[in-house]
Amino acid sequence: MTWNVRRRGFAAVVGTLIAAAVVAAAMASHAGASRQAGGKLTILMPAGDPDHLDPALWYTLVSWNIGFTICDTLVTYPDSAGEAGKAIVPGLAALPAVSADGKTYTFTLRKGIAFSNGKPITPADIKWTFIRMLTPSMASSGAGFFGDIVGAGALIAGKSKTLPGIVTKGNTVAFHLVKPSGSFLKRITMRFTCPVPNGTPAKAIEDGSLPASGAYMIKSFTPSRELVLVRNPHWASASLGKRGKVDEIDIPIGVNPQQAALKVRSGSADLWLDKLPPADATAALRDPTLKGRVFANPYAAVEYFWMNNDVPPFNNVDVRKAVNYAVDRSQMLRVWGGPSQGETTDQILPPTMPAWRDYKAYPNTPDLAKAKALMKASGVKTPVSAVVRVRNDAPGFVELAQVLQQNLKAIGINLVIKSAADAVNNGIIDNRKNHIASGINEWSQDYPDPEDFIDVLLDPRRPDFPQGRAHFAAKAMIPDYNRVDALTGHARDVAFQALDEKVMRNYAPWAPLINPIEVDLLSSRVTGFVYQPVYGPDLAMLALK
Amino acid sequence: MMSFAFRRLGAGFVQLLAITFLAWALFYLVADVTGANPAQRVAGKAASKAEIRRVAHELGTDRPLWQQYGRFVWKLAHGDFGYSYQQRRPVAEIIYPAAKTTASLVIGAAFVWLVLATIVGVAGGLRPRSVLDRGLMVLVLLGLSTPVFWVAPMLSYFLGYQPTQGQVFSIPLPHPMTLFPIDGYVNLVDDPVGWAYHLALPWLAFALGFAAVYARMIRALVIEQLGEDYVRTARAKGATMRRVIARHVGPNVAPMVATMIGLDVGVALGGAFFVETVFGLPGLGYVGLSSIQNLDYPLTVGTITLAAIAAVAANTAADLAHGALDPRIREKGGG
Repeated sequence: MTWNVRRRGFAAVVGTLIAAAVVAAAMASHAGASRQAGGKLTILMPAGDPDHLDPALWYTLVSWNIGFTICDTLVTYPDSAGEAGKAIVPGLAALPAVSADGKTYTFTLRKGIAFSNGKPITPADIKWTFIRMLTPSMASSGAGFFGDIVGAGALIAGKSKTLPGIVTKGNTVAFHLVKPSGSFLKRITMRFTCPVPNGTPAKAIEDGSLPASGAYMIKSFTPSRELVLVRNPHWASASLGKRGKVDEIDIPIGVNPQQAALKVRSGSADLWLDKLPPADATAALRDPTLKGRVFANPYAAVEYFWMNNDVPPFNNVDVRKAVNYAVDRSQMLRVWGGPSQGETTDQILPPTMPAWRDYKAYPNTPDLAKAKALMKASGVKTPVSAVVRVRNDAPGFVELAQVLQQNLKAIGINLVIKSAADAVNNGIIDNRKNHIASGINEWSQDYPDPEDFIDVLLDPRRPDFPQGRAHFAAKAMIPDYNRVDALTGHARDVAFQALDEKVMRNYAPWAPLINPIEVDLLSSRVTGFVYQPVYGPDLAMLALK
Repeated sequence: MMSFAFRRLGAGFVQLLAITFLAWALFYLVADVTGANPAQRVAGKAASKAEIRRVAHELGTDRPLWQQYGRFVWKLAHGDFGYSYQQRRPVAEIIYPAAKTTASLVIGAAFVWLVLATIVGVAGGLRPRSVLDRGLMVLVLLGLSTPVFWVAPMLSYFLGYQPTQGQVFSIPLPHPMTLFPIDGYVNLVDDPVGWAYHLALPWLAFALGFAAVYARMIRALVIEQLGEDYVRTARAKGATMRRVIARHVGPNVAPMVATMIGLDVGVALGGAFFVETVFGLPGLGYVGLSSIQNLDYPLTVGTITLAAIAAVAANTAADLAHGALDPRIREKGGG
């Protein structure tokens, strides 16, 4: 045994020397290595993304950003920032012809469009893409957005295998809806509709092997490790505009946000594909050496305190209005990370929505006199307790709840903070038997249309919809909702703003708090940053200096 | 020895069964009680109740719990960890690569902490209460009280990022250089040099805390052994201190260190998460956490089962090593 131990000691010494030599050699070789040259970018991706690579399944901001880079939809959004970036433009097809009754949209596919494997994209591919997405075995989150296509309901329910609402003829695809919709054109831009070849199996294909239809295609994918995109040689750039500035985009996956900021600053990466953490964002915005490389852009989302309109004390409209007067939104913003991370709001719709206007219903700092008067008028006996549920697996939400707890104590409402991971929290809230009184949540858009906020979260026509946590059920408002939904174009956008104001002033089902801002940092060697207002940093427009 | 080994392996198998059942029960039953709903997570935020029910049927989460457990055990018995709700691919495809990464981190770090602890512990034990010993114990205390979630980003910042800006620990360098990568991972088989290079800082970050614990333990054991009669006898017979340490003290200290290593590798598998997060290592810690956040129970239970297998294997190996190094253990065990 002693001999063995001596041999082990010797082996350990030799092992140490070998390991030291290996590490030293590695340091030498890597320290001397030059940066990647040529048209190659390194874009860092957070852990958990992409959630999927199958277009029927992906459903995060980051995944859709990749989707915007590797796929084109029938109609899409341009490579532009600001308002211009929200205008729907031709994609695989020209803008559609809409029937007089507003129920049929006919798209004519462009000539020369092809998948990255060289095969032409046909109307049959488009139809199959929708059938596949709506097939129950796919369990696609996209199914919920296209239930108004004729026959979609039966397909989603598994009672049919066809979709009569999509008709192909020659080079055209016609979508027949059960009723006119002011949002269909926007919904059809969602990345769920990225085309897949006709006959692609209705099961998840997550290895990146599905052919692309955009400026880039997937070259390789190692789950949780790396995604590599290269230019799509079959992309019809001549007809669709100039995208795809670099030859290759390497995307390491699972990067820690703080490390990502360091890597971009050091030049070993070019962009972090998510918003910078608050401290890094503030530091970057203040650093004069980073001038021209830091970009702050609001994104279409709202952080809000929802009050269950069915559960005391928030089943009383005066209490809900009192809450809106008592909350200190300025303090909320400070704990959220300061002005680099958002702007205060008292409205349902974010400023990124079309025709948005600031109607100023409630103050940024507490108006306690008014809040207390409303509490008195409500007839609710104080002090009164209520539960507020928040997620604790993302920064800021518990802190917002703590500020809220202090604010509402001043008007006699004792908030009891309960927190859990988002998925668990959602399950508890959505179980109506739990009678959860309130919570703090973030909602970000699926497509740039007000209905994606108001009709999903606060629709009195379906107060039991899972995401409508306030269970807003004011029957008097139903005619207003019906009227707005029947409109189209600018009139619809303006009407939604008026609806927002009416709901907040008269019913205050929420206390909206913050519209978040995304801060992005670019490496010094890259140019062409465009913050596409729907999809975020436009990777296809980035170029090397 | 064979009988001892068989009994120890049998005990390990029973432990595994118990852990697997508890992991399943914990996640499926607790989720059932709290109302956490994987189908809702998969169906998406805009899904209606009918759509959520449809997805639940596709996932099989609408079946009775006993049926779900039966399927789970049946599959596990066939080496099938199940199918990830969220990632829509076999759990084995996800956890095996992650396990390799975590193993690279933990085994490499264990090597580093043993080397550091042995140097510090033996040096301190040979001259207890000397200036050197006291100085080393201050370092050990520092190592004990510094959490890994602070050490890891600091190492990454000072040795990864600062050199690229022409500094190291804020001391100017002649020119900017890359000393260590800020984060990242490469496969051992693809690039062994790059593998070691990318893991150098994670190993150090992970090893420091454990090295401090082991240094204290080795120091105490060395002091204790040096006071034993057999050491005095060996020295009286003219043996050098180096020989005494190598041939007498070392073999008596090694079994205890081996046992500790076995236990700590299990603990380290759990603690690896912080280091994996900071350095972007796609290991079991990261996979396990994201699976819990996504209510991806098959992946959660698969991760726990695999980690449990590793921990039980490490403990069993440590016990067997202890038995090999110390005959009294074998005899007590009836081997």
